Formats: sequence, structure tokens, C-alpha cells
Amino acid sequence: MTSLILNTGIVNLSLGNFVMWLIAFLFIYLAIQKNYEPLLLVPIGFGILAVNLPLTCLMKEGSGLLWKFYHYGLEWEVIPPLIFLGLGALTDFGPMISNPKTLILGAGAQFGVYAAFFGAILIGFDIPEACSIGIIGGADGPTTIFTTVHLAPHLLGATAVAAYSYMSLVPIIQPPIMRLLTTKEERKIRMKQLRPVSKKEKIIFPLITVVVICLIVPASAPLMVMFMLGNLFKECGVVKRLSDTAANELMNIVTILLGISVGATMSAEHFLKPQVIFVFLMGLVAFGFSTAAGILLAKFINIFATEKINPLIGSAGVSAVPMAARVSQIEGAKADPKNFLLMHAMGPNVAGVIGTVVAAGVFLSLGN
Amino acid sequence: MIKWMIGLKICAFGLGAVFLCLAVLIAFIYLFGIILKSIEKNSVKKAG
Repeated sequence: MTSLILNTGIVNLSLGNFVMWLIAFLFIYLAIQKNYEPLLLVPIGFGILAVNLPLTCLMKEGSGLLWKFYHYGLEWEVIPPLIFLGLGALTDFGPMISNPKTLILGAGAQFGVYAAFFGAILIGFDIPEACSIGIIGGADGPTTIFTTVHLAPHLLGATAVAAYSYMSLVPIIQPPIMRLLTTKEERKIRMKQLRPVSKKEKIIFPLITVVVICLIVPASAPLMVMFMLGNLFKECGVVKRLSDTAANELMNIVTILLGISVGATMSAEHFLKPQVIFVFLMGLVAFGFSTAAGILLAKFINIFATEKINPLIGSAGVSAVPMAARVSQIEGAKADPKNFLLMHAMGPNVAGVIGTVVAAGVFLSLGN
Repeated sequence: MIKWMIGLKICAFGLGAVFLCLAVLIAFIYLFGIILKSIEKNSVKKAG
């Protein structure tokens, strides 16, 4: 009888487990009530709850169910590239091809990645950990997970949750920075209507991109290859079934596995550490710097450009597709209700995804 | 100190790679835009 009682989870509960339950409930509440990244926060929250039930052995190496999802899905680099396949099938590069200058804004927003990277080094994190923290600034969940699994797997829960949390908080974090760094006149700048992009250009783009980027930064290949393959599925028009599967069913399946695997890494003993607070703090620094750098770069380009860019679209370079582009549109419309910036902001927005993958590739090459 | 040197190296290479990749893409986009336009012009001329 005593042995039976000792083998129940109840007597093995710790204070840490309770704290993690509260965090799990908070995530599930935010997802359901506030609609903050619900597709991820629901499985992550549930994963946290499950892994903090004592003696369930869900993360036991070799046999635990969630360990298998984590090991074969994340450690084997399967899930993030599959998410990128789906993202590619959902992404329209048309606005970016139509106005290629906006690609530079996607690069500018990567400054935040390096600001957080140095901030993390300053706090005392080692290089691989600092790389994993810095990449949060790219506002790209799968890339953050991909980088962290390679470089600092013990930080996976913190970096993944920080990335997705800040992505959902883009409409709160970005507008004050955008207003601070721009004048009302700048926010009113109207941009020339985008030219239509031909089907040929859209088909050639993923082919060229994958060659160029994988030749320059080979370590970014797993994500870039799948991203561009998904986009080719979408644009070529002859594999609609594959494109639909990548963008819908497959994406949904891997999102479930990703969410629950990330949640499963957040056991009390791994997550309740002071360094997690610093990860979140540096993530916020990264987001702030990325937003500011994108805007300032747009203003810098305007010094030389004949056709002015509305600096508000610079902030969309932080990826977080399409949320960051929507924020640019909303802020632009506040200054001039007839100014439509959404499609212009989609250029730096998708360029930001490419820029973050390249930055991650460099981290993976040099950060070990 | 060594950590900072590695950090600087990663930052320099990282930003360099990001800007290089995107600059090359911009160049290709403009180049292909020009090539496709000239192909279209030629085909219109031939059809005419």
C-alpha cells in the first residue's frame, strides 16, 4: 500500500511543478482568451502541463513519448524544415520582386539579432547560447528552434517561447518604437504602386535564391531548400496537391508536433533558472533593435533615393509574417487613412525571413 | 576577451553574409527583369 502511494504522482509533486502548471495555464489562457499565437501556445502549454506531471516519464530518454517527438522531430532536424516547406507554400514573394530595394530592409532588421547576441555575451552566456538567444530577434520561430537545438538545446524551451511570445506581441512592441523614430510627415509618405510580377519571375526566384544562399551560407540549406521548394510548389502551378498539402495538412501536423515537443522541454528543473529571465530580456532587446534598425535603414535609403520609402515598412523586416507588415499598415493608416502600406511592407517582411535564415546559417557555422 | 573576438567575427561574417546574399538577390531580380522584358519585346516584334 505504501509502495502504491509512493508511486503516485501526487506525493512526488514539487513546487516547481506547480509553477510550471501555472505557466502552462497562462499560455493556454493567452491562446484561448487573447488569441496570442494559439496554434502554438495551446500545444506548448499542454506540453508543459504534461511534462510536469511527476513519474509520467514522457521525456525519458529512449522510451518517453514526448522524448520521441522531440528527438526525431527536432534533434533530427525534421520539423523546422517541414514548417519552412509550408511557409514557402504560403509566401508570396511578388511584392518583394516588384520592389527589390525592400530586400535591404530585411537585412537591416538583422541588426537586432547581433545586438542581443552581444548583450547575451555581456551577461555571461557562452557563444553557442548567445547565438541561440540572438536569433530570437529574427522573429522566426522555426529558425530559432533550429538554431537552438544545434547550439544550446538546454535553452530550447526559453528561446522558442520567447520567440513566439514576442512574435504575438509585435503589435504592442513595435508601434511605440515606430512612432519614436519617425515624424508624422515620414509616416505619411505614399509609395508608388507595385508593378505586376510575371509568373516566370515568381518561378525563377526560388530557384535562384536557393542557389545563391546555399552557395554563400551552406549551413542555412536545410531551411532555405525547404522554404524555396514550398514556394516553387506554389508558384509553378502544376503541383497544386503538393502545395496545398505543404501549406495545410502537413503544416498543421508538424505544428502540433513542434508545439508539444517544445512544451515538453520545459520541465521545472530545466526551465526555472535565472538565465531564462535573461533570455526573455535579451529577446525583447533583439526585437526592439531589429525594429529600430529596419526603420533607420529605410530613412538612410531615403537620403539617396529619388523614390522615397515610407520608413514604417522598415520595421516589417523582423519577419513575423504577416503580423509585422500589418503593424506597418496600421501605423501608416493612422497618419494617413488613405495610405496603403501592407503590400509594400510584405517585401521587407519576407526578406526578413531570408535574412534570418542566413544569420542562423552563420551562427551554425561559426557558433559551435 | 577571446569570447568577444569570436563574437565580433560572427557578427562581421553574419551581417556581411546577410547583406551579400540579399544584394546578390537584388541584382538577380533586376537582371532577370531586364532579360524577361527583352525576351517579351523580341517575341512581340516577331509576332508583329
